[in-house]
Amino acid sequence: MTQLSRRGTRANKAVYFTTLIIISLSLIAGSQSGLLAPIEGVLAVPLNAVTGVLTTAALRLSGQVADLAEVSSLQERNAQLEEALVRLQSEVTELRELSSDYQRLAGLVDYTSTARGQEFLAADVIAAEQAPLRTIIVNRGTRDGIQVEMPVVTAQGLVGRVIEVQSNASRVQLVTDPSSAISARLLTTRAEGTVMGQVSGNLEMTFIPLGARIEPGDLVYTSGLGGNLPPDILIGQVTSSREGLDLYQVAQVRSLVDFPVLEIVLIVTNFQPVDVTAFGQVGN
Amino acid sequence: MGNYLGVPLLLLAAMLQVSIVPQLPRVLGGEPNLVFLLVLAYAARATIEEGAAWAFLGGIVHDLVTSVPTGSTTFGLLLLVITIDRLRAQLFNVGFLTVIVLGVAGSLLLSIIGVAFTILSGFNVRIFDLITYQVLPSAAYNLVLIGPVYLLMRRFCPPPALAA
Repeated sequence: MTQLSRRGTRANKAVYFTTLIIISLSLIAGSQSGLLAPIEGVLAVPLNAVTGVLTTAALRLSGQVADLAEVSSLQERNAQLEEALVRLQSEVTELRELSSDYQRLAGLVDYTSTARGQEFLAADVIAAEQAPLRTIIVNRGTRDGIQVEMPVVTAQGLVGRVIEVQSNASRVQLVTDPSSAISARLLTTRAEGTVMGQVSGNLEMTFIPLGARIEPGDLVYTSGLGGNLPPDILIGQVTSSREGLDLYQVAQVRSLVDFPVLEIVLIVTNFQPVDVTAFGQVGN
Repeated sequence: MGNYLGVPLLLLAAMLQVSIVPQLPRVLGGEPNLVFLLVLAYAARATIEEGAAWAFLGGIVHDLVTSVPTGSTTFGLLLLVITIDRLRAQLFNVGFLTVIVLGVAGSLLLSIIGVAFTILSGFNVRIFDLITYQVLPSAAYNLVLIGPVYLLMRRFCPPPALAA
């Protein structure tokens, strides 16, 4: 009985599987031939609808996951870009500085090429003070052969004179310092005078003879008198004039040097000041 | 777990197969076959008739949502169930390791059947590329997933002897 039962079960299985295999092969044949297309279409409609919803949800979820992953990536990228921006800004600033330096140096080179007979040493302005003296400190000193009384100029004109020298730095008294007095002359009339610094930071040319004609715009140069400075260094430009105490005229002079932003200067190294006071003493 | 529960489960698996699975990050072009995994895991635990029923239903729904001719997956899954039946007759029990081996072999079998019917449908198939980028990676995914799916199925489905 048991063997018969087993045989029956096997036979049933065989029939069962054979039936299913035949059905599946029929389905394949029907599908391949297109006979099942209408049925497939009907059955696929709800499946496709649900699949569509699932796909949309999956895409959104996938998109959000990607966005989340991208946020992290973007944050990292943003940090990198910010770092690069800072670096580039630093480089731009440096390049602007170089460009600015180049412009200034080009101007100084032009100036030195026109100033024949003078030797120059370029120096960077490393400090400045407004009181008690209006001075600047440059990065050249005795090591570089700098001596007291050497004139300091730029392409725009006279800056001042060296008043103190250390091994690697020098202090320069600006022409705008109130205690500064420089023998000067007007370019057009050759009238002599003395350019003195003012508390306001401007320049004033005094002791101009009463008969001398002064025109706004006249250029003022060093005269070389007194022996403290070489002649023919531009000091500034007359902006206005008036009579002073009926004995001489006074002219307001504007320096062309932009002192607040002074960065590079030229020190005239081959000028030897002459101490004319010795002649006064002899005379006395 | 009977055939009635199998219908929605297989439907869901078939729909997930074409909606969620393609969105998952994958290596190469393969993907796991969820219907195949469910049918294999269930057939290894249930009676052979129930396994065949799952194979038939699963194959139909799978083929309805995919491009292969209707019945081709059914055919492959039925062959798989027959194999399980034969193995069960030889080994008394189809256990974890057997399922793992069947996971790879069945995956390759289904792929070969799918490729064969696709070629018979008149499509020009580059077999080497298909094997490299589709068949073998899919078999690898199925190999990885069949273990967990089988263990999960074992929790909810009693062995055939008890079920009978």
